[in-house]
Amino acid sequence: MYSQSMYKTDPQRKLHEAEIDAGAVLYRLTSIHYCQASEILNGKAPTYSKISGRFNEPDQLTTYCANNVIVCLAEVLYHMYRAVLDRIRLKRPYADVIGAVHWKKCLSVFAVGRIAQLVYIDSEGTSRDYDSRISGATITFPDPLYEPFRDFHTRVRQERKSGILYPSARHSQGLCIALFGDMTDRLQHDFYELLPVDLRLVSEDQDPAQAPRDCDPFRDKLHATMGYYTFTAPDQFERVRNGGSIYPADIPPTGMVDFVRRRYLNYPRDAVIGQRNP
Amino acid sequence: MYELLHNSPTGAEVVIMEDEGTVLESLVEALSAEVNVACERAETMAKYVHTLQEHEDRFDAISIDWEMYDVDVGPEALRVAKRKQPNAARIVYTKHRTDQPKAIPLGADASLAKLPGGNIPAYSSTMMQGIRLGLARRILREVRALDGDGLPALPAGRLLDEDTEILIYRRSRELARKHGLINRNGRRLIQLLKRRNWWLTFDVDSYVKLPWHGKLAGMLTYANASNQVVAKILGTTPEAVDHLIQEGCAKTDKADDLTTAAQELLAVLGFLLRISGYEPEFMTDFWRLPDTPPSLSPCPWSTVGMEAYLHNGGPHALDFCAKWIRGA
Repeated sequence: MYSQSMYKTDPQRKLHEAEIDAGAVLYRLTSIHYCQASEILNGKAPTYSKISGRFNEPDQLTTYCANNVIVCLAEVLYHMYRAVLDRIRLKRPYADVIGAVHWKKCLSVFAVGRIAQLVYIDSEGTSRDYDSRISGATITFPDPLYEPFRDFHTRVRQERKSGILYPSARHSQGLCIALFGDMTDRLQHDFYELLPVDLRLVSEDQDPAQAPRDCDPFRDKLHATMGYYTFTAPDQFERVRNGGSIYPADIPPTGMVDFVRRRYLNYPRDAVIGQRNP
Repeated sequence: MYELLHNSPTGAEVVIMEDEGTVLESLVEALSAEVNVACERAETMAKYVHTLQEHEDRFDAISIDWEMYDVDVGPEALRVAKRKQPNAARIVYTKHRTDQPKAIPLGADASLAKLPGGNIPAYSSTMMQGIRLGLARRILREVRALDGDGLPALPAGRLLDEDTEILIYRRSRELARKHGLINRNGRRLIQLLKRRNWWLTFDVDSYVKLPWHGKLAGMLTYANASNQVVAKILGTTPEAVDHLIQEGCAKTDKADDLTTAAQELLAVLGFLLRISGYEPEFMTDFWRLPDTPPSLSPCPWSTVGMEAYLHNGGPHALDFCAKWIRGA
């Protein structure tokens, strides 16, 4: 059962010490090919991709997850958007560019045992004890790679911390979590759900009230701040939601979400638009 | 081929107009249970007209009771059906044998006698053929939009014969393979072929639950890759590939290396599935054929095709290929 109180950070944001309680629910939107329980927290994604991330070098075991479903959707949609532009820049085959507009992914919903020794980036403590450049605007620096983050996670790893809690650069609510090393032993195996999701980039003139039209990045201007998602097994999604393990609880099974940070007066109602059945 | 033609379409929708409540329920039950069809009930002519008007060109077949509440509504019901649901098959179901010959000239595709004890099996079978006809008409519409020629028209007054259906099956699949990735009509055609169960659907809900080696086995089937070829790619024997796919672990000296290589192969096949628009039927082409134009620039395997590239280069080529794919 999801509870906000299980992700423990200093509410005054003075201290960087943080931890996750036993039983806390986490979400990871991952490849449909590698989404089994044995694969979800092993941290191997960077070793496969051989690319650096916000808080990892290519060979450092790291798992990126979140405590909010919309964070996962927004993060992956943003990376899809960048991936299309990168593929065009790199002159990748036409089918690869077109194929990068639509991904089938899988949202893994799982509970973990207690994870202590985490560092909360959005705190005075981080700025004071680790790197004074990490504060305010830099915490949600929009690019995936940023030198101060590299220095920061290197120090955090040297201190043998378990990972970093940080606000998403793509969504203003919830937390992202980078877990270091193989954390498979923290997985509580009695609760593990797989929810397939269709993610699509859309063109600028996509009507949010309609199902997404085919989008060709060689013809259409891609929407630079929003993308479309559908949980393709709505019954399964409802079952997990009714079990109290989806946050935000009233996120619809399909809709369009921002992948930029915004202020929402009514959350999550204002964070998902064009709610309609798939 | 017989099985392909006679398998049940998925998600068929029909309208059943019938004034006798118990008969109506028995017809709905027969269709829902036997062939999993969604049925709209029309107990009156007014409801029938409203249903056909409200959901224009949506239904695959329409069952028409010729006489409703002692009035011959058959001719009018056929007129409305032809106008509002031009693709749907029109099946007249009547207890008056004398009405049967009238129905065909007025636009019915088939007529069936309502027998005193009920003839549900014959009714189900005829409706099933009607659904196949309705879908065939929709398929032909998309085929024609793709400039497909050489296919017969499907005029009113008769259900599909086997030869015509085989022709439609072959031609529509051929056009779907040619246009399905690049053309909106092609994609619509594929959706219809999926409803007809003539096109493989990637079942992501089942796929995600498989262990990685089960996923690899599925992907290799989609790509139509033989064990011999996979063994060469992974630098091992066909027996070791068999064991790996069955058990998820290797039984060789370099088990870890083999498992890692097999997981890389899964990633490469996953890439092919994605650029195939998650249509497994396109994977064979992307696996086998040289560069699939148009392309901004060639990929490492573009001159020979991925299968030959990996087969000739073995694990080194697989590693290079996986890195290239992940490089963007």
